[in-house]
Amino acid sequence: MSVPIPLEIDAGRLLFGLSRIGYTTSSAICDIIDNSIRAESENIELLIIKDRKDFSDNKKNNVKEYIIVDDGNGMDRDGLLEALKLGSSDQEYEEHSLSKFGLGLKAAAFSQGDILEIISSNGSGFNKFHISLTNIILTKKYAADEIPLNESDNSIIEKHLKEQKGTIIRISAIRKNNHPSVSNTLSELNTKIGVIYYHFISKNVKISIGGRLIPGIDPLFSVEADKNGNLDENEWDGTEVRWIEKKKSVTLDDELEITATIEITQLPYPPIFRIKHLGEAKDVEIRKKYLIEAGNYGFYVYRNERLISWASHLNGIIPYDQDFYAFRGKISINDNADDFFNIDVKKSTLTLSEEAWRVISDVTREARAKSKNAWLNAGRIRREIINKDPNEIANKLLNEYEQIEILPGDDLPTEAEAEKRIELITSDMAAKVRLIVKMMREDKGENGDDITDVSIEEKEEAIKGEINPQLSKIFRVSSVTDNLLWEPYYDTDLGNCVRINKLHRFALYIYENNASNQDMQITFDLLMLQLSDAEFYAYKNINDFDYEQIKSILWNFRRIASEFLAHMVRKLENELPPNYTSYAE
Amino acid sequence: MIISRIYNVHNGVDTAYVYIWISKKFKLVYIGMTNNSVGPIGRAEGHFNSRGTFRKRFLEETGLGIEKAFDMILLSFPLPKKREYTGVESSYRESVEYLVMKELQLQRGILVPNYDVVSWHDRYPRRTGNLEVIRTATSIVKSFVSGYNSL
Repeated sequence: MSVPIPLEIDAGRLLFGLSRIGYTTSSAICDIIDNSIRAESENIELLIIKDRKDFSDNKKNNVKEYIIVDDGNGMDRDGLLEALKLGSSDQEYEEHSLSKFGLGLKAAAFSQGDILEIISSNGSGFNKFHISLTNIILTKKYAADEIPLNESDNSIIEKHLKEQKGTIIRISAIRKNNHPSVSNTLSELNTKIGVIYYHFISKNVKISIGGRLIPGIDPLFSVEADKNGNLDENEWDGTEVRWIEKKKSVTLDDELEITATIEITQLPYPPIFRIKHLGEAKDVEIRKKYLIEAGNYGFYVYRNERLISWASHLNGIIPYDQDFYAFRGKISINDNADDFFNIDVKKSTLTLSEEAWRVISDVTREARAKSKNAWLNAGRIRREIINKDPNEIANKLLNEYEQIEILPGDDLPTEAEAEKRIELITSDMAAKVRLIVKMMREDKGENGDDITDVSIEEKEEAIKGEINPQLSKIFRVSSVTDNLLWEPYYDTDLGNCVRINKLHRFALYIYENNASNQDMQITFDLLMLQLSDAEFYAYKNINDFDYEQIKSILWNFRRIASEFLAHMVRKLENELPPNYTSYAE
Repeated sequence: MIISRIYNVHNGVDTAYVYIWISKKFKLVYIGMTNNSVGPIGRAEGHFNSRGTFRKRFLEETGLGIEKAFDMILLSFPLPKKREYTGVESSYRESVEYLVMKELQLQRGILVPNYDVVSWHDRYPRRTGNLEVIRTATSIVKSFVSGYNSL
């Protein structure tokens, strides 16, 4: 066996390279805050010292130092030297640690400035080390200078570390190469820190910038979702946060027993607030509050409770599409899942293993569809509010309309015959009401077996699908007997009406695929009513057959037509309108 | 001579089914529903033929043709004998299928051997809140879970 030949490492180039792996100012600061969290700090303070204090916070290239102070466990002299090593020992990392490679502090610090100073005490007195990237590049040797505390250090200790325990990290000689302004960094950190350390802030870790406490932000707004319940994408009007998937454990690898938890919420649909609160710009407020914007939708991945990936699309699991703006997913993993998530040094990006990608993609497939449909449905609701519901328009059109009493050539039945038929129809319909109430209750997930106690309101809701005085003849309901597309309904108060099965495939095609074509919807509603009226006409006036025969024939006609229409939509889905009209913009 | 005893899942005239194809060896589960007049057996041809979705997914998952799955099992679950379930309009059937699929995805890491669910819905069905649909799906999942070991 050959003897390995030691090879040189140019510490300067290595460190320089490491500092250029893509940290932003905020991700670098957060990587240092990770160490403070790991040291069980209760208070973490970030100070941003400007170069020219008289310049505005909006000026670029005007940061002199970043100082991160924590009152955590601190380190003695040996601990400090260990922490400054490149690739500090992972034996120091307890289970569920936020650390990963032992490179974060150095890489993060030198990504922003050329000098790193670290001052720490575990109660046995403060030690201070100084590392200069410029010197290391010059000498090609990685080394730290031990230097005494200065006045500024002492004043920080006096103010923040009264118990003589904790750590101060100072990054100075900040690079003036398009370095972000203070206000830019502040606004980014205010949100980022709140989200990244949400779990720690909830457990009472206080993180502040320049004395101002940063509140925790749950990117899923789960407390609101808990209050509002699960998302029904067909009913949701976009005003509330709802659950798409409550927390579920998913196995990523059964042999290695690697699991992750996944939870998903739907955030509000901002444009609906513009309509409901005219002139108040509430939509802007909502976008701000819920962080609804292009860079914020997707999955938030937390590793050991620390965010490691902000709004990740997870290699295409969430498409880049505005219809997913309200989608917020959270994946929580422990460090044992690292290999499945391939986390980088700066803990800001991850690449899923093929297995993890497949599992997460499968498990969230319906959630994605749900989120998109809900977003689109909220859009429809918004349009409906603006344009008035076409169903109401169809009903309104009929207010002044009178149906033909008897068609030319048909014999008017005798009064006795007509009364008998009406009696039969009324009795059939009375029986039908019980069935309709049962169907409505079951659609709501309630038990529909006992229907002895039906209030007037419940009866109205069951017949019409909703309690709405504007609806007098044409009702879009969630269930129709035998799942047909439509059925006639009659009672003495309402007269002849139609109940349209709005979840039938053909109705979905009219109401949803053609949501923007209101004329088509109104025409369809009116056609359904005319078909129902025709059926009544036959029951009342056709005496060549007896009532039961007519009923059976017409029921079969409706059954066959409903099935044919469902079949046609299924087969021609992509070819059907809207496809053939170009509307002027 | 190979004898396959197909005596109880080829009548779909008045019954629709949710069915589950399983290969424990390849750790795959495929869930479907049918109102085919010859039941899940009649529907199977469409899954296994050269353009079949199950064949396609099997190939994607394992890299093998589906004929290599020597331990394929078919479980069939009759749905309520009602027009809602047997009609061409498939919202009730689809909703049961969806709920079963969703639950089996969650069970994938718990049952032994584990499996991947390789069927999916691109459209979210609309009757998943219906009590009968929920009850039917729950009962199917229960039977599946309790019987899985002994398959």
